Amino acid sequence: MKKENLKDLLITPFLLSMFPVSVSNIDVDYDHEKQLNVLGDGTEMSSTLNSTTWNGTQTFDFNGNPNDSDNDSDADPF
Amino acid sequence: MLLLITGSADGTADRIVSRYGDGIFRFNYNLWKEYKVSYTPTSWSIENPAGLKITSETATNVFWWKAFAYMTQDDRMIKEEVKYFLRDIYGWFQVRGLSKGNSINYHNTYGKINILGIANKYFKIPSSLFSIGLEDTSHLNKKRLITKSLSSEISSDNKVLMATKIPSIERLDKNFPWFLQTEVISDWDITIFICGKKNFAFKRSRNDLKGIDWRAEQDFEYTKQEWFPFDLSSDDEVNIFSLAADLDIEFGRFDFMTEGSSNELVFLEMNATGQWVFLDIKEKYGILDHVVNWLKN
Repeated sequence: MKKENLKDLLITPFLLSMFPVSVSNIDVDYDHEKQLNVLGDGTEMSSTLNSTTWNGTQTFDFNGNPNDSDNDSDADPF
Repeated sequence: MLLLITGSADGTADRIVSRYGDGIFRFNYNLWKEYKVSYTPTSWSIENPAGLKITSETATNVFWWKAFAYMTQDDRMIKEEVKYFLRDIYGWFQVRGLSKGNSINYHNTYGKINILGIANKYFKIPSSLFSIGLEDTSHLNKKRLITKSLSSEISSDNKVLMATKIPSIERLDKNFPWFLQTEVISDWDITIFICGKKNFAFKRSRNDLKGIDWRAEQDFEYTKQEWFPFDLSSDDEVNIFSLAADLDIEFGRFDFMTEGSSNELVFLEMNATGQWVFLDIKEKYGILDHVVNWLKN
């Protein structure tokens, strides 16, 4: 399509949508005894400032950051 | 014993558990297969693989925090069966007045536009319209507008619609539903987290934003502090708790912008299960301790 015609296209919600910010994955294990996530060396994840995300469009990160638009709802995206 | 219904990868839940100490049982929805559950009309028990157990006899209250089924390959029907059980047992606490925080169906009841109408009793709000067929938009003509998602759902290609400027209503395709608001020109994003009888108000400068939605431009490395305490006026403090009372909540995060460079607040939305750890990531302001104490009482 010619560039001059793009300005005549109608805008849809899909055209305005974007991939949310995500953060890098961190290898953690869930410990049922502690009921916490731990790193490979046994460090409790909650004692670090590291972040983790899953599946790219995560609704939270390890520190509770709202990193996409459904973050503040309880709608389960999975 | 507090029953925390959540997911295994939730960092907020980790911080709560870590600070809570003994007396908390964490059920991770996504790890449901790893628990032993017995739930009858008269009694129930849940045990985790480490032997930690909570029962209808030992349970004191419940808190639901973002129980999502990530990292599971289960069929939707199976996931829904487990989710139904969780909602059911949450109801066990609710009918006994033992649930903390807001109902898991809160926003299904109150919505966003309805809340804007209630908030307008206490705060300025942007002109707001949800429209199908772009009906009744004449009052928004010639105004600077934004659109955002009403439902906050993710599209099938995993994209999200954040608050986004639009050039004009005429440019919008009327074959889609649109949630439109007048743009607030502001120096500051303000967010106020309430928990029990206490509020925590923070501000974030909008000067360095490239777009209009701060969520799209966060620093996950925490190289610099982005949110700072905001001095809430005594009138606004009364207003926020009056609004919370009208909305029947004692927990949640209220998002505002300031009117220009003033301290006058323009209400944007309330998130009944809004995140809060990011406001006090290094625990300078006591939010985590306050939330844990609130959960214990």
